[in-house]
Amino acid sequence: MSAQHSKALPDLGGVLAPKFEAQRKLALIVAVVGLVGAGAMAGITGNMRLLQFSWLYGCMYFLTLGLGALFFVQLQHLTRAGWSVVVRRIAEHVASALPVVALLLAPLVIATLMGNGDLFKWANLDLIRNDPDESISGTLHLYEHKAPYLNGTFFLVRFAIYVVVWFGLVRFFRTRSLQQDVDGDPMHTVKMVRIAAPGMFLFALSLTFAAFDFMMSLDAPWFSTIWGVYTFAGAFMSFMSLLGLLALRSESKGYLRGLVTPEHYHDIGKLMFAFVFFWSYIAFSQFVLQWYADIPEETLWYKHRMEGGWANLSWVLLFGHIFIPFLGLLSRHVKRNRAGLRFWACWLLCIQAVDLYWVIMPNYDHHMHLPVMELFCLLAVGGVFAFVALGSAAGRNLTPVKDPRLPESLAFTNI
Amino acid sequence: MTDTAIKGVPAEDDPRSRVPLAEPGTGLTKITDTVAGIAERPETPKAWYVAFTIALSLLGVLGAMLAYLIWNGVGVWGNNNPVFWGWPIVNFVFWVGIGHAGTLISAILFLTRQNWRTSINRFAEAMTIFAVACAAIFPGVHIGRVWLAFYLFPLPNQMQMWPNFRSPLLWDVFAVGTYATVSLLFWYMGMVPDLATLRDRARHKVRRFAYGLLSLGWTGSGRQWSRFEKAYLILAGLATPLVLSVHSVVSFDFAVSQLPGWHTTIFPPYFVAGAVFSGFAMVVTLMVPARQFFGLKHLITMNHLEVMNKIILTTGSMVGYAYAMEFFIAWYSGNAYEKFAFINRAFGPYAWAYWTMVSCNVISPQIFWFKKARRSIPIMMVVAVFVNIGMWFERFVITVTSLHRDFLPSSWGYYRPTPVDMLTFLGSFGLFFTLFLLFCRFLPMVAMAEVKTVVPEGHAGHGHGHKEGASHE
Amino acid sequence: MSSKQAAAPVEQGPAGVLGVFHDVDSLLAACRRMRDAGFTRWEAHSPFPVHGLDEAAGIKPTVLPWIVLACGLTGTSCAILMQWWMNAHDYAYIISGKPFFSLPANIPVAFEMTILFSAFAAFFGMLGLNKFPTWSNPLFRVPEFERVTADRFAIVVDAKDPNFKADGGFLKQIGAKEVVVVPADPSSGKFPLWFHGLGAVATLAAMIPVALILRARFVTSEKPQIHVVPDMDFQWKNKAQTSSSVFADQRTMRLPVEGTISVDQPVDANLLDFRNGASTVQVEGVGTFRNDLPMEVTEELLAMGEERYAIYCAPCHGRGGYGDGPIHQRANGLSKDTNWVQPRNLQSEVGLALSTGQIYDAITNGKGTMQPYASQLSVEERWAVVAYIRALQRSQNATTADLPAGVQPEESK
Repeated sequence: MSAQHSKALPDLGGVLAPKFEAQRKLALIVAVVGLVGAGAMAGITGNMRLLQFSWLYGCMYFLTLGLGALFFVQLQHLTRAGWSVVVRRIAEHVASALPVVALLLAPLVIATLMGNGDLFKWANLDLIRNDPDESISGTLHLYEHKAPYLNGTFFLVRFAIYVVVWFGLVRFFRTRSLQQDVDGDPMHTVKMVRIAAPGMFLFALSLTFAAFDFMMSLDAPWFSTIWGVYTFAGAFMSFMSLLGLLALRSESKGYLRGLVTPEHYHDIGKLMFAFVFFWSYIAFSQFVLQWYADIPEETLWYKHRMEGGWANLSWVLLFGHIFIPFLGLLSRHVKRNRAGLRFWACWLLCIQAVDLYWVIMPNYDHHMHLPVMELFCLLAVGGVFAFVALGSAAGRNLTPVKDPRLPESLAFTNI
Repeated sequence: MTDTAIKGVPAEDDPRSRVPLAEPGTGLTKITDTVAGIAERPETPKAWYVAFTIALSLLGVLGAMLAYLIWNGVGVWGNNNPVFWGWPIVNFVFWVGIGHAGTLISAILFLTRQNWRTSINRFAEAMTIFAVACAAIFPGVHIGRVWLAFYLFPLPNQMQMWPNFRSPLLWDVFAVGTYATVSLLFWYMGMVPDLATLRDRARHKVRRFAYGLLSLGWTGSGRQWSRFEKAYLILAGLATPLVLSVHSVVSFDFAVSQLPGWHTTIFPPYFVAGAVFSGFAMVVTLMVPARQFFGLKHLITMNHLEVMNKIILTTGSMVGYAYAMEFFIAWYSGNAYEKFAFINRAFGPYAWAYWTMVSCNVISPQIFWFKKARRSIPIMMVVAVFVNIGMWFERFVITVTSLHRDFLPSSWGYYRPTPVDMLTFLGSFGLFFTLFLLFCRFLPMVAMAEVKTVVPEGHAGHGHGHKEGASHE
Repeated sequence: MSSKQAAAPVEQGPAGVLGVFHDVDSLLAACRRMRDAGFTRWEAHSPFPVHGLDEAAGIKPTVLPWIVLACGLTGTSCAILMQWWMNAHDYAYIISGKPFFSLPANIPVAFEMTILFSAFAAFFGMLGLNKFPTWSNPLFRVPEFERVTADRFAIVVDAKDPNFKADGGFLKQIGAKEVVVVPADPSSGKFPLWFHGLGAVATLAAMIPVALILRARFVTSEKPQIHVVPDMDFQWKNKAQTSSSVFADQRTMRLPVEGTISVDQPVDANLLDFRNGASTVQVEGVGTFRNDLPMEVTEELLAMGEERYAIYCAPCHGRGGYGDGPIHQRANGLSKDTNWVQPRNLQSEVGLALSTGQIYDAITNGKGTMQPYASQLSVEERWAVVAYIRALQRSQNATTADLPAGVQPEESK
């Protein structure tokens, strides 16, 4: 593909930089409704443990979306991609909500630091020691073994590192990109390419250990080396779906009309499809190895998810996360069709919520319940997430207008 | 092309334009002449004969070793209690791993529109098939009574038994068998248009007949291309999950067991990353001398090599990530055996192998952070050879260190290969290079039709002006 | 084209006309004009796939993807069916306690076969739709066509096209640099007779091994088998129950060296005897069993019995001896259709009636589906378990009379 395939940027007359005032207000209302709902439920039932689990769940859902966005931005620079330039700014704005969502985890981290074992049992070993259930008190030695890693202080330190790394990376890419809108200096692109490579290292390590800390250690005796990859697969898949939805919405609102074409949707759809498959591959690898070897400390994790109501959710994942979207997204016509892509993007965003629910909530209770508190927390965090991302986007170009590869992106066609 | 260069940024890193994939002035005619010319050369160069003689002698060594093995039984190998999986499986995984780069380059890079792949994909695909052929030898002969190898397949036999589909070793038969078949189809199908080019250029009757037979009557009509491209796209789409699955299934051979050091969930993606890593290193090892020797520098440019070195750095780092995760979880799991297995790897009797592996696989590619190193022929050759060595040692470390320390300390042992082991492995390189040299001599080494699509004349809007610039008439 | 024409080529009209183009742009422009002029039987030829040609030449999308999808799904079903039939139906056998048919273990093979079938469909489907192999084509006799697979482009109009004109004037109009007539193929397009003969011979030769194998499947033979590798068939080792020339007594199986001491320690005969003791009971149809303990019951003995009971007995008989151990619970939980027999409830009437000798006998020699534990438990340990079982039975069936004198409740006095 050479740069001669140029296509002039159509004159959009300021539509490219909407203010999003109504949308931000709506996001704030959603956040408040979620917060009030969750607070009221916690106040009435007095179930602070459920509140903590639900809050973690809500945060993890949007954290993975933000991480997916950060990965997308870095990947496009690292591979010097041309096609994606027109939608890259959307990812930059979504990623800018990542450090804020991470900070929303702070109350949980502080509670853990203060020895509250509601969420992370390892925060208070007395809970394990005095548990009447022998299958829990019998694992005390494992908790003691892991204490040098799983303890409140180190947890806080790691959490601080994640926030700093994410904040630094997100800020770097967003500021450079916005600066380029003003001065049009191609050097910004060169520098972003240079930072993307070491940035990927930081990203991979921070995502992996954050996944270990906030999800794997909920069931501290359990372990899986692939856990970081599993979390990443879901994160990127869900972000690509979100990106598809946001691009569709921006186009229908007129912000990106004439810029985003079915060619771009096709590529977004391809990445969604690829990561449906990749997630299936990683999830199957983890499952089949633990299922086949049948070692108690590993299979217990799956056993909890195959009993009670959780078995139903496992089936939902098997079909809803693997077979159905795989067949649904197989055809190129679906990926190029706006309605088709919108449907599957919504589907995958829902299934990511199911996946994380299935990962986190069995640690709360071995029996499934109606997820009311969880939905309130999802709304609360989602409202904040949207508010921050929209705030980042407000009044700024929704596409990097002076990116040197924008003409290539606009003229891009699939084979 | 842009008018002014940015200070301190080389042309290939300038975001304002893309550098041409082939050197400027490489038109349709020149591509055809260069690539087809190699296969058409009336006299074979002496150097080729020298190389071919060496390869053939090594192939002879392989034949002799296999005959000796089949006559005497597997006792001629160093495999013994407690290390029953020795060099044969190490060599098998090593070769299968090398066979992954070809399909990666042809399929995954095709799907992600990495057009630079067109210059190297044919070469890498051929390498894939020859590497898989080398790999297939080892499981084939390790069973002892090779004439009963058909028990591996679900064929009706006189004992009315069927294979055990719950065993990962049988999954392996299906995975590697499918992989070899699909790679061969992919390679051959991609070559059909180029074989037609050779057919139409052939002056000798025999050559014309042979290439004519192989090219199946290709005329390059619009409908043929339409179906061909669809089939190619579908095969690429199929080969991508296939390439992931093959090395994953190979990793299942180890990881479904409960052996410390083998049973870990990251094995499937880790094996795939390692396979691609070693495959790319092998492509660089072969490509650098080949482009020099056959005058392909204008098609396989320094930019191609630089991108490949970046991929080596990326996959090498992924492998390093997996090593780190294994170590961390070995401690985190609280499993005493797991912990011992890893400490023993790094500081036990096979520490020398472990540290060879780490320095070759994780440390040596890190030099590719520097642009100068990525574009230096001697450095990339050294690193590529190091990576090949390191990846062989990785399989050795995984196989042998986990086995040589049994749960029963009374069974502990130290594995030593026999000369037969070593000569068999050496001989497998003979097979690889024999096939490879034949390929270089008689078949189109670069996918001409594909390269033609990425030069300016391959697009609408570029045809006029310089099309005759490189005409051979 | 009939085969008779091959013998005597007769005058024929041309097969078509070929127009040569030198670059992509003029080819695409010409294709559009061909399409719009209503030509139906024509083809554009190029040395590489030209982007946009399908649209310009009005080529419809191929049905290949659907063929591939159908074959892929066939592959999946075949693989699942094959694995079920082979491992769970025709030759069902248990490997390491795994179920005969379990999908997770069958997925890798199912996946590979899906890919294999799909790849065959893509490859052979492409060949079939393109009618490959077609080794004979009139174009191959036109010198101008030679460069069309290298660096030239061409449009070929078939003589059967209603708009066809042998002078190719239209091609010139739309920009062809050269126009040549493609003469009809003088050959029959078929392989010569000797080729068919050779093919038939080769096919027959290929059938020989198959025929031999089939014959071997159904014919029995009196002849000894061929020893391909004699080393393996006749190994240098002595088998049990054979004679040996090495030793003077000609016995292959050697006696223990004189003075060898058994690893088993000598045991008091009284401990081994579970039939005769201070008190005995007569069990109908089985014989006499002692109903006492051959040793003094000490706290250590009971502690040892408790420990061994917990290890060897409790998994089936349960900690309390009610025959409800975890194995029983799991077996019951797995399926109601199994032939699982509940382990003896030692607290039931029958269980309580067992004599010490009977319990000892069951531990030593096994009973019903219970395996003998003689190799796991020493004689002393077995009696310790018996003593512990007695204590267990008493603990579960205690009356107030069993309580020590000082702590008996009021009303029992």
